[in-house]
Amino acid sequence: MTVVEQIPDISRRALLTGSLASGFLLAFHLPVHAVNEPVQPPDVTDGKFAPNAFIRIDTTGKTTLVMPQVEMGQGIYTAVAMILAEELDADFSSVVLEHAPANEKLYANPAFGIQATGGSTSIRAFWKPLREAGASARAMLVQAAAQEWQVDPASCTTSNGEVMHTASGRKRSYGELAIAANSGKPPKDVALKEPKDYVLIGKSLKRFDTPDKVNGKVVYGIDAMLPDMKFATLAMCPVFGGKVGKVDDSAAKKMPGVRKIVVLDDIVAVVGDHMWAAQKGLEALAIDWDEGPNARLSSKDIWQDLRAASEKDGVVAKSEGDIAKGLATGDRLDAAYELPFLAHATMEPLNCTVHVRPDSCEIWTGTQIMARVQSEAAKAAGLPVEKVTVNNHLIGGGFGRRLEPDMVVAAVRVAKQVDGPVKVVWTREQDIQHDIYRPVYRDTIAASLSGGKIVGWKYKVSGSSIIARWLPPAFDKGIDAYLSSFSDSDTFAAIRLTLLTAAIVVPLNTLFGVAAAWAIAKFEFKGKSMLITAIDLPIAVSPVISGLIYVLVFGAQGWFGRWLIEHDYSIIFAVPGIVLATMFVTFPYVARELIPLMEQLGNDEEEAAITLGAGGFMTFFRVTLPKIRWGLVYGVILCNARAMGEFGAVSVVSGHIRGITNTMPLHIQVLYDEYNYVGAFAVASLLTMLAVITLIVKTLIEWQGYRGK
Amino acid sequence: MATTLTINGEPKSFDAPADMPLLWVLRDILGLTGTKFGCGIAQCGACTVHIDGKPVRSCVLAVGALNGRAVTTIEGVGASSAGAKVQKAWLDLEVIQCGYCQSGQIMSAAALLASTPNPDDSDIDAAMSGNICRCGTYVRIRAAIKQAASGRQS
Repeated sequence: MTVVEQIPDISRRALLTGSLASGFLLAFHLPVHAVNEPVQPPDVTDGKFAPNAFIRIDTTGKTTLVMPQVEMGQGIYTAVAMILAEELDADFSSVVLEHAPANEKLYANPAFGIQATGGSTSIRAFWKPLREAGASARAMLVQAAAQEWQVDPASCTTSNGEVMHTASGRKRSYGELAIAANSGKPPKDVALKEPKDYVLIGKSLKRFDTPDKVNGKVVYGIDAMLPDMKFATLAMCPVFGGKVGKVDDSAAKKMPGVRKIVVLDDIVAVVGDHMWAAQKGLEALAIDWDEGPNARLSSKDIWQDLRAASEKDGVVAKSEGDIAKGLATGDRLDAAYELPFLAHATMEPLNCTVHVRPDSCEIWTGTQIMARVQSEAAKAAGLPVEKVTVNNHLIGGGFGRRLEPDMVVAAVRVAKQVDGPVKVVWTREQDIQHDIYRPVYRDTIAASLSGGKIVGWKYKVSGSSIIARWLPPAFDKGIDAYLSSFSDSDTFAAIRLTLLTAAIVVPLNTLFGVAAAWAIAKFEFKGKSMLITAIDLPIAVSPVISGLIYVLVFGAQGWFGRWLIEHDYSIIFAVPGIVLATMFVTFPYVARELIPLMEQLGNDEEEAAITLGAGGFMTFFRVTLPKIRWGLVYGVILCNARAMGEFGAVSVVSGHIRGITNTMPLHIQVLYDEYNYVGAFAVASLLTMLAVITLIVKTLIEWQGYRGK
Repeated sequence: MATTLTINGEPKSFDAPADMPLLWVLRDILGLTGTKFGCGIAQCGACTVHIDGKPVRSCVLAVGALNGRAVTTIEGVGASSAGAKVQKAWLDLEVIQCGYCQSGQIMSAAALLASTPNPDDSDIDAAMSGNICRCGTYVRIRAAIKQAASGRQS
């Protein structure tokens, strides 16, 4: 999988506001579920039934299905149409397909959270959302028909684009129902078909895209034609990272059909009446390149470095048994496998057509990343993103090359210098030379055989990290640096302190919380409202203030400061202070979870138990606890999550002593302040992982709780 | 320089430099975008068209040498019996994936069938070796040519 999406910079502010774990999660683009939301597509006109982002039915019954994934030959348009039409019970012969516009909210791939086609994820990611979209639209059409006929929707059936009421023999086509259905509401839960009821899925149907591909009517990005369009081709420095030095365009300007020479920082383009003029013009240019920092870098150097790196010890992913001993036994074999740089070499050369106007920019291309292309084009054009329209096309081969926006950015930069639309087509030579290559890899393998069996096996992979392109800050010094962050003693101490604090705070607060909730819910006593206020106080007060109160009370200048110093106790700027501050901040979670629950459950059963002779403890453990256990577990989990993530209060009392009083959130801030992004992101990713585990545990428990009911 | 060609049965006149390859005349001047640019050096076959029924690589064929000749492109190949059979077989067998090379594949296959109505494997290899497919549809291309020749499912 080579999807590349740079995470947005996590601002310092986000890091410092204590919402670090959630900020980090968002930055990872975790799956979004907007695809299921019945959001009206922006371009729907009146008289169309448009229940969600994927389906539109007009009054003639014409069913337009909007394709969230791009067609590069893999057949996804046909598969997506089949899934939607299956649950919709559409008339498959009246279906037409449309490329989705750039809209991350509506068309994000649930596997990535961005509008991307790649990694063989389309069916896996869209299977359920598309079925739900189809079924939900179908339910709305049924609802509209049932309402018109004044019958129970359950007594209606659908097939081939019609709703039928068998008992009365009535029928309405989807087209006839379009207007009425459009004013309905999408159902909350909708039943999906059983596999045995499929009429389309599972069948080998003809592809939608083939007919136009055998008669020349198909339109790829490179086939975009606009009135008064100019044609351009470009050249970039043969050395990656190089710039344009000097350009002599005197000969090129005289070439017939050449209209303009565009010289940018790193690109030279020739604009002409047709590709031939542009190509001849480019050939006639005399360009001196400033080859930049990689001028002397050669493939030989790269291989030399990689081979040297592959001899070093790397990070051990998995180790079982005594490898040295295994390899020393029997016959040893050694081999190295090297994979070269490879260009994607899509059959359709890179291209992009752009029309830049003062207040807008329109793009015609074939891309695997619609929304990213839109935002990158906006940056290049210097326009707000909503002023950029991207028209996607069928793609003459992607293979990941069109998961990059570089060809669009280059075309927009050229088009800014051109009056009217211009189609920028890369020559095959530029396409190969300026590919974003599949990286070189070297795998070394040692194995030993004894008696026909493998007795030792060592496999080492050396190459550039693909994940590093996803998470540059965390990995820009390599996976080794990322992992070695965890073996740093200060980091280790921070992890230990965080876990220790949680281990002390959570049981104590559970105990206090249960006791307080029990007292408040079951008994009337003087000062009850004081207790409730005390429980709510940490929620009302900023954590920083609570931390400061601890400093005032226990600090060297505080009420007990002198006494504490005399008796050699450290609370502030030491572990006890961190524990106390965390305890204060997380105090409400268990109690607040339990009080409403206990109040709602009432006292009847407890009173009955006491009447029957049970003591206080017996009543609590046998009667009260079983009733509140799910609420209790939930409260404990919340308390734990907050205890591990607390920043503000702990920050004030900790003193940020590395290796001693830094918890994980504080340590992340320290690392970040020191510009140690690798370390900061590594620890942040671990903290995120702890948060995710907490959420998973919570979900599992909830799920079990529901099942128990 | 004004040049006249018969393209898909219709006479077309246009102004173009004599050294301009037919490919760019078709695509950029006449708007017939079914013929594809793949490499520009007659190595991939995506730009294949027929001149007087013979397959040629239009990306290296200077238009100045063609005055008065008959050009058939993917847009017009269905008018010939061999072309129509090839298109039908391509559809029946779902040969195509991304499709970018397929205009050229179909033009080469149609020319083959017009000259060799019952090609064997070596005829197919010889006629189709200049057309490359990045998706790797070669197996289905061979099967479709045989089906087009025989009129039967192979």
